[in-house]
This record gives sequence, C-alpha cells and structure tokens, in this order.
Amino acid sequence: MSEKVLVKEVGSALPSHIDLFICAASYDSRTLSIVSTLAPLIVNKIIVFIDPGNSGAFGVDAVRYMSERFGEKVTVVEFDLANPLDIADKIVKAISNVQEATGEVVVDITTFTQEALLILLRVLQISTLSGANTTGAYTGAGDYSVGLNAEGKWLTKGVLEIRSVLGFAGESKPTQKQHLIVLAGYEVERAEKTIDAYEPALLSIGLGDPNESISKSLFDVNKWFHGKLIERYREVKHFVFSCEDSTHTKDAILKQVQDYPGYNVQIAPMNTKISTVGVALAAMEDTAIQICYALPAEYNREGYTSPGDFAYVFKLQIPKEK
Amino acid sequence: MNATNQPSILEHLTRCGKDDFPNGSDYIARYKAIETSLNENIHPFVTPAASSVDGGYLTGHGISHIQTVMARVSDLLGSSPLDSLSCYELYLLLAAIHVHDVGNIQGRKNHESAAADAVNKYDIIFGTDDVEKRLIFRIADAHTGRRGSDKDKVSKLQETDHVLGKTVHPRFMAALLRFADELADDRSRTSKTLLDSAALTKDSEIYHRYCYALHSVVVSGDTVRLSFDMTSGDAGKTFQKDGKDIYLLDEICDRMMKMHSERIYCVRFFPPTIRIDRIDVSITVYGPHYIDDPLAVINFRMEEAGYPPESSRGIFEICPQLENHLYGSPLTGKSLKDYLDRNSQ
Amino acid sequence: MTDQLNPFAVQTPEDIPAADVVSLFVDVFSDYHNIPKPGHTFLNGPRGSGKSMMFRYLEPDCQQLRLSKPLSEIPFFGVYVPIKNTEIKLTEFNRLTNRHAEVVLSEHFLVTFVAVKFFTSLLKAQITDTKGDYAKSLREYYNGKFAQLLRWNGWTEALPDIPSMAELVDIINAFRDVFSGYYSIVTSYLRSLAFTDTPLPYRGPLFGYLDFMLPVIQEVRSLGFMPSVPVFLLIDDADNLNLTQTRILNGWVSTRTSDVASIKISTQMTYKTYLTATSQAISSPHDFNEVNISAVYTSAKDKYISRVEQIVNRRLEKYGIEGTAQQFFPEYVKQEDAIRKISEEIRSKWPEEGRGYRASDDVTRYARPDYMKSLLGSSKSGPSYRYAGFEQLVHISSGIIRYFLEAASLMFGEMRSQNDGALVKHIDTGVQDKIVREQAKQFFFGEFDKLECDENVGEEGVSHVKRLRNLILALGGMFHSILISDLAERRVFSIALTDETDEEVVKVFKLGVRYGYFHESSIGNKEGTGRARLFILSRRLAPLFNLDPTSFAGYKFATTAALKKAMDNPQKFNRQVGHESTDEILEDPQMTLFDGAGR
Repeated sequence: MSEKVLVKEVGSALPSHIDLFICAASYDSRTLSIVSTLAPLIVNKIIVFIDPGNSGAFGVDAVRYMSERFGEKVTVVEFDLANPLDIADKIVKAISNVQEATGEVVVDITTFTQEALLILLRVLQISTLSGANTTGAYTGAGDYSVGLNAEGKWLTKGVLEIRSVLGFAGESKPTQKQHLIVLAGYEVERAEKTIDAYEPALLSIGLGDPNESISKSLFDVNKWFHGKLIERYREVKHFVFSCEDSTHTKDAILKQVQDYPGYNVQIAPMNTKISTVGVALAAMEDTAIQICYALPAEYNREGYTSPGDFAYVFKLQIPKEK
Repeated sequence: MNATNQPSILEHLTRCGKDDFPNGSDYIARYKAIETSLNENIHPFVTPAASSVDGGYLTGHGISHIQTVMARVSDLLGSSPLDSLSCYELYLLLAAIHVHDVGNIQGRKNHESAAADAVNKYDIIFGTDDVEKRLIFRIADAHTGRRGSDKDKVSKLQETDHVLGKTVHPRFMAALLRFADELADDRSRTSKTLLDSAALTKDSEIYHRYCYALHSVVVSGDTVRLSFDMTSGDAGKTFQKDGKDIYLLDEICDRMMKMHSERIYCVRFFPPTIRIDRIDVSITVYGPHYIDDPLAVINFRMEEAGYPPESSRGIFEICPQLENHLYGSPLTGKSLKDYLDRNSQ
Repeated sequence: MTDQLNPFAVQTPEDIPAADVVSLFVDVFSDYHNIPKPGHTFLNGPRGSGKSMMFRYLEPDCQQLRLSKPLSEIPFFGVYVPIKNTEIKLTEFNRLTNRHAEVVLSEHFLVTFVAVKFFTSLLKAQITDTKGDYAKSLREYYNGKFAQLLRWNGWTEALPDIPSMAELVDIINAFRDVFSGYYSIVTSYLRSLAFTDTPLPYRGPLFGYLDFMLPVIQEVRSLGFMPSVPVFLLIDDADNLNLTQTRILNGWVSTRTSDVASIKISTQMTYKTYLTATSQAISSPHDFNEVNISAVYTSAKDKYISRVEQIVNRRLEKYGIEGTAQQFFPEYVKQEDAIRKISEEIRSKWPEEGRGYRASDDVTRYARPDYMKSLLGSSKSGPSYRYAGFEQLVHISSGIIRYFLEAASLMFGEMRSQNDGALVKHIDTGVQDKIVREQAKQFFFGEFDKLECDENVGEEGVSHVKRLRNLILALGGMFHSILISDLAERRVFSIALTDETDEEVVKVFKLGVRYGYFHESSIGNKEGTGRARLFILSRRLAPLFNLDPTSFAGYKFATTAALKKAMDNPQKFNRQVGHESTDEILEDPQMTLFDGAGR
C-alpha cells in the first residue's frame, strides 16, 4: 500500500535512517521535492543520476544543491538517456560500487524516465541490494504542462523509436500473436503511435482507477482516449489499474494477462511512475512479459510539471530473480 | 619448424599468453586437447574410411597432411605471423586446419560440410561457445566445394567479425587455409610403396602420381616455387581420369591452372602485407631411377602478365549489376537516353 | 448504442479469416505485377497503404479460395512473416555489437523465426492426408535428412520423438515446436546479456539461410504435399528489424535462389540500409524489384479513387448497409450546388474571359477555389467550407487507404452515438467535415499542439521537428493565399527546389516525408538541364489550411534560402506572401515588404 503524505512531511514516512538514497536529476522541478526535506545526518549515501544533455539548467543546479547540502555523501553518475546500454552499465557500476552497509534503501522514482526507472529496478533485483529494505517515494504533480490550458497541454511530442526495455525482453514465441497492454496517461499521441507501431492482435487499454488516480483530469483523459480507440480498433479490451499503488497495478496487469492466455505480451507504461513500478513488478513475476518504451521526439522541458502538495511512500518489494 | 626453419604457427601459438585469448581462458591447452583427440580418434582413419565409402583410394588426409597444411600456412605468413593474425586467430585457424578434411570419413562428397557431424560423434571439446565452434567449421568449410552453384565461399564469410570480445578476420583465415591446402598436395600425401602396390584403383592413381611428383613447395617472398619430378616411364604413360586417358604432365598443367585460379582468388582476401604474385613451376623428367641427368626440364611461370584479356561480355563480366539496371537492361548509352527522355516527359 | 458493427474498424490482416479477406480485398496486382511473380521484391508504402492486406491475400488459404483450386494448383506458396515492433529487435542485441557473434546469432534468430512461420503456413494451408502418406514422408524427413542437417550445423541434441502414428498436423506442429525451442534458446541467451558487458558464451544451434533454411524449404517442398512452386517469404514491416538484421535480410535478397524462395519485403519507407552483412550493396533491378505504393497512386489518382470505392462498397455490402460509397458519404448539397452555379458562370464567361484552353479547364481550376474565396467575407456564424462527399474524402486520404478507413471509422462512431440506437445508413456532411478537420489537426503534430508558433525563434536551438512544423505552417498558409488569389494557377500543393544549397532545408523536407507530411517526387528544373526535387504537401492537411483537396497539379519553385526563412518565421513569411509576389518571395528572399512589383 502507498502512504500519501504532504511533501513537506515526507521525511516522517521514510525510514529514520537511510543508508542509500537513489534519485535522478532532470528538468522536472520535482527533482528536489523529497531530497530537500531530508536532514543530511540521516542519510549515509546518495547516488544521483543525471543526463547532462537532457537535464537542463534545473537538473544541473539540483545536483549542485545536493552536493553542497550532503557533501561527500553524494555520488553523481552521468548517463546518456538515449543509450539504454549506457544507462544500464552506469547503474550497475554505481550500485556495485556501494561499499557501505545498505539495510535501508530509498528510491525517489519521480524524475527518472520510465525506461531508466525500469532498468534501475531490474538492476536492484539482481544486485546485492536485492536483500535490502527498499522504499519507494514519489512526488505527485500539481499540474502537468504548466501554463497551458487544458486543450493545449502537452508533455511530449512525436515518437522517435520504440524499443524493448533492457532487462525486460520477455519470452516471446513466434507461434503466438501479440497482446499489447497500454497503461494510458496524458500522452495520447504517444500511446496512439505505440499502438499503431505494433498493430497487435489484441489490445488492452488500462484506465486509471478513479479511486486510485493521482488526479481527476488524468482520469477524464484516460476515459476519452479509450472511447476514441474502441471505434478505431475491432478488439479493444479495457481494465482498471491503480495510478498510486504499484502492487495493485501489478495485480491488475497480471490478471489482464491471465484472462487472455496464449499471447506474447508487450506492456507500454505511460502513466505515473508508481504504476510503472507496478509494471516492472508484474514483468518480474511473469518473465514472459516484455516492457516497451516509446522514446519521445520532444519534451516540454520548460513546463513539464509543477510539484504537487502530496508525495507517496511505499514498500518496494522486488521479488528475487527466477 | 617449417622448410625455412622458422617457428611454425603452432610454435607461435604456444608462446601466447592467456590474456591474448577471450576471457583469459587457456586456449593453448584447449588446442592441444583438440589435436590429441583428433590425432588419436579421427585423423588416422579418415583416408581408409573415405576410401571404403567411395571405393577409391584417397590421397593422404591424415596427420601428415594436417602438418603439411600448417607448414604451408606458416610459409605464407612468413616469419612474423602475429603481424597478420592475432593469437586467437592462430588458434581458430589451427583448429580449422585440423577439421577441414575430417568429413571425408563419411565420404568425399560434401565432406567439407560434414566435418562438424564427424567431429561431434567423438565429443571433441571445442570450448563452451558454439559461435566460436561454428566459425572454426565455417573457415574449414570454405576450403573447397560449392554452395549450390557458387564456388565463392570465402566471400560469404565476414571480412571482420567479433567473437567473445575479440576481433577476427574470417575471410583471411579461410583464404589462408584454402590456398595452403592447395599447396599441400605434395609427396607427403602418398608414397612410393602405395604407388607400387595393387591397392590403388585405376581412378585414383592419377591423383597419387600427381602428389608424388610434387616434391617441393617453397614460398619465397611473393613467389611460390613448385618442383615436380617424374620418371620417363610415368611421363609416357596415360592414367584414367573421369573415364578418359590423361598424361601426368597434362594433369600437372590442369592442376597448375587450378592453383593459379586459387591464387588469384585467395590473395584477394589477404592483407597487403602478404603478397603472392606468381607461381613458378619446374618439372623434371628423369630416367627410371632418378639418378641420371634429367631427360627433360620444363619451367614456366604463372602470373598475371600482359594486358588483361578482353571479355566478349565487356563490362558486364565484371559488373553484372549493369546487365540489369534501373536505367536499362543492359545499361547502355541508348538505354540511359531513353530513361532520361521518359522521365523528362 | 446499436449492435451495428463498424464496417471501417481496423483489423490486423493476419487475423482476418481467408473468406473475409477474399471478399474484402480489391485486387491491386495489375498495379504491382511483380509481387505475385517469382523474384525478390520490395514493397514500400506508408503505414496503412494496404501492404499487409496484400500479403495476407497471397497466403495459401486465400489463394485457394480466390482461384477455387486445391493447394497443389496454386501458383506460389506464401509464408507470412510479420515483423512486429520489438518482437525480434530486442535491445539486448546491442550487447553483441562489435563484441560477439552479432551477425551469426542474428541470422540464426531470423532463420528460426522464419522457419516457425513456414510451418505455421503449412498448418494454415490445411493439407489433407487421408492415406497418411504425407505424414510418413515428413516423419522420415524429420528423423533422417533434417536430423542430419542439424548435425552438419553442429547441433547434436536429439530431436523430440514423433510417434509413428502421428498425423501430418502433429508432425508439422512438432517442427514448429522444435524451431520455437531454438528461438527461445536465443532469447534466453540475450536476456542473460542485459546487464553484463562481458561477452558470454552461447550454447545452441546456429543456422544460416543458405545452408539451412533453403535446404529445409526445398526438402519439405519435395515431399509431395506442397505445390512444386516457389515459396514466397512475405516479410511484413521489415523496418522493424534492427540494422544487423536488415543487413542479413539483404544478404538473403542478394542470393540467386528465388526459384526456391522469393523474398517479398514490405517497408514503411524507413528501411535502414541496402547493404548486406558483408558490405555489398543490393540494388534494383539487379537484385530485386521495387514498388512504391504512394508513387503509383500519386501518379494515377483515378485508380486510387476506383480502388477505394470498391473497398468501401464491399465493406458496406458485407456489413449489410445499403447504398454505394457515394451515397454513404454524400456531398454537401448546398455547397456543391453553389459550386455548380459558379461553374456555369465560368463556362458562360469563358469565350471572353477564359484563361484555360477549354472551358472545362477553367471550371476545374477556379470553381471550387472561387467558392472557397466567397466564404471568406462571411461572419463566424456563416457558412464555411465543408469537406464532405466521397471524392473529397478520398483525396484527403492522400493515397493511403488506411487514412480513409480510420476517418470513416470515427465518422461511423460519431453517427452511431448521434443516432441514439438507430442504424447508421449514411454519414452526415457535418460529421464528415468535423472528423476530417479533427484528423488534420491531430495529424499536425499531435493532439495537444498549438497552431500559433513563436515568432522570435532564432536559428540556433531550433530542432528539425520545429523547423518542419514551421515549414508546413508557412507553406500551408501560402498555398491558401494562392488559392484565394487571382492567380492563373491557384491549386498549388507542391514546392520544387530551385537549389539544394542549404542541406538543412532538404533534411527538414525529408523528415516531413518520413512523417507523412510530404510526398517526394521530381520534375524538370527551370533551366531544363535536369531534375529538381518536388515535395507535395499531404492532402490530409488540406482541411487545416482550407485548401482544395481535389487537385494538386500546381507547384511553385523556391530557393532553399527562401524556405529557410519560412522555417525560421512562418508568420512573417505568410504576411509577405499576402502582400507581394509569391514567386519573387520564393526565389528572392531578400525582397522586403512593398518593395518592387506587387501581384
């Protein structure tokens, strides 16, 4: 279960002592929402990942802030978000270089890209940290595509490439057809392009549960998008998943997969990062599932999000590798 | 050591360190195990088994032939083989040399492709990686034969490839093996005793006579020097080949023409540092006992000389893609004009 | 909502039953005559242009139905090999690049994938084997030559047993399972590579196309239950292969083996390379024939309209809707009547004022544009141009059948929700217009794009994507200005490049071609000394810029310098176009406002 707390009080929901804090610095202003609430004394080590070519001035400043506040406890790791091998190698190296005791690990998942987050989770699964007590933290967004009215909002534009996520290749069989599961969010164009790129035999659209949705506007967009798709595609199934509880998300996905057996399953997570954690957990449990990622052509860096008032804290129970 | 008393490629291999090989594994020990296993279980039986299957009497395809091919490769690579091949490539090439003819144990037809099958039966360990193993057999497979109607097997290999983190040059290795095998058809593959015995069938005698006649193969700089001798009796006799009667000299000339073609073909894949530009041939005919003065001496040189012969097919000989081209089939000035006229409308 | 099925909903062709395919498919092979013939062929066309449907139609079950012939008498045996995104282009393959066995493993992966599809096609062909002879011969092959071929390729593990009484279907399934197992060995190996940069040893078989796949096809074909005809490997959406896989496929194309297997490859215009893994180039027509769908339909509009009409009529019939395509998608009568009236006026005035060679030429050129111009003065609540009527919708779909069908499916959905349970018998013109305008807007950079752009965007930091958007805004605005002008040729939809001095401009146009905003062609240059690149705006954008989609004959020459300025500041460009000679602006970008000749 996720615990929803005010951002300024998130420290009270996290472990009183953190051996390792992992986060990413980006142009998203939520980069510092959680780490800035932590007292330096309670944190042993921080690993912050950054793609300097993509993080903008805000990301660079955020790293500088962390280094000033936490001093030598901070390890900055640069990676190239366009290169999944580089993401993986840098994460593996950073994690394996951790010499200190790691009983309590906290991962601020908020400002990782979907792909980098998924790779991180997979590395945590196979690393020495798999036995640690791991907590996930996420800052909700107050507003997306800040400054634009509802009709003009955008987070990303275009799709450069769709690729499978490293570590989640799945176990597809050429004797089976495709079942594409899309966890839709605000990025309707990206979702449509992903569906068009796959042309699956079976399409499942996940709708955020209104009772477990980060925002009502997100739920409304989901619903409208689903309505649009059922006219275009003959076979569209839908299911409901949680946007704020990764375990519920995982369960909903696994049920959807089990309801339609005999397919090669690809999942495109395009909702909240918490739900993306749920996708990872589902794919770790059912290793036949492949996770895919649509690399956007453009990001709305200037007005991506504004930080919300609430954060979510949850136990990150990563299963042992099968 | 080879004829020039330089360390052979095998000796060079044994001087390599573990770091020269993938994952720091002991490839020298692995090679020795392969060699021992093949020498004990397969090589001695290839010739008799093939003869049994095909009904003829194959020239020597055993340990001696393997050693001859290695020596020829050493000759071609010169005194510093590691200038041209890495330690890992030496291993791959030596392993390929060992397996290139073992398929004959199932008969001569398609023997180059049957090598893997033959070897697998004896659980010979070629390491834990099947890609590496396949490369060895692909190099070996390219030494002869066709794929369908296409004799160009070497081009079908990668020029550069990567195996277990190491860069290798499959075409070069295959071409080396192929040409070295061509040069290894010498006296060591047969014997006087065999020639004099009744074991040789009529169809196989010519091949043995050829091998016996070739007593010396020397690689000297950019020249291969082949020396043949024969008795006047052998020179004056005909032998059976494919239902026809053929003189030994004619067989030598046919084989030299093939070797010339093989030279032109294989050197295409050699690096610029290894040049084989010509084959010098010397054929000496002696009296019955080889101790008298020669009765006839024939010397000739095979190299690309003079102006290249013109082809009746013109440029289409070299560039078949111009025979069937977007701007005309075949592409000519007229067909180009017609194409431009059509498109300007 | 009614239970009435949407006749235009998208279905993946591979899931459509053969009977439906044969009833729905409109035979296009008179345009693409190389496709059903032996020989390697590339079939290039944007997504939705009907390539997958063509391939589905070539499969044995459809061919048997179409020809009313048994399997033994069909002219070729099509094996459908769809390449789905990320299915075989796994990111883990990147671990092998310049490290270990990239080419040989990739080829083996492709071969096992194709092999599974080959045996799947045999299953779909539903071969009857009443006496059990075929089962016997296939089983003998399995235990004999096939097992030997595996050994020759270095794989010594025993094959699963096939019971002696197994039927043909079971034996074919056994082959499928065997190859599926080999495929899984590779995926398992690839998964192990994800988080290590050290090359790991691979244990498993390694098959090549020439030394394995072709012999299997030849042997199975010789067993008697397949027709003795070439096999067509129908590789669909080959853009979804990674670079190495693409090069391997090109290597297959370079082989002279089309008497055994002809390779038909469909691409969406983003095929990665025409080099093989051994760095040879394959080319047309030496190695393959090439068909570009959009080129065929761009140059043969009447054929495309006829095709769409046939497709729509078949779908309406199949789903029990009476009427023709024209009746189902009616014109906006008021509008068309007004245009007819203008046409009559033009015709009557032609003897004195006509510009064209014939009155009908002037009618074609000016009637609809004059009508559109006449709407300009009206208030916001007054009439606006309606994009309605079957012919207009077909033109807007720009030669890609799927665009028509997608719009049609949305229109149907809209009508269904408006009809409150009643059956949909036609699409209201207002709905037609609404949907195509929405589609045009969405097509132009996604759902949440704004149409205005930043006037102060400078040269640096402007991405190709932004430049493309600006270019389209500039050209669309210019084409509209021309449409409502008094110029002799007003139906301009294309730009021809006078020069290619600025490579950036060409790159942006190429990006636009890739995204489907432009089609590329060529025309004779102004000097008459060669060809110039011609970029035709997609008519899908016609509703966005209020252009006449029924024609696209006109073009303008432009320098790359002028187009660069349009990319930097489309609004300023469009203001200039409103006040100065279009030709002068396009050919002399230094011309300032009100300087020199007007129109």
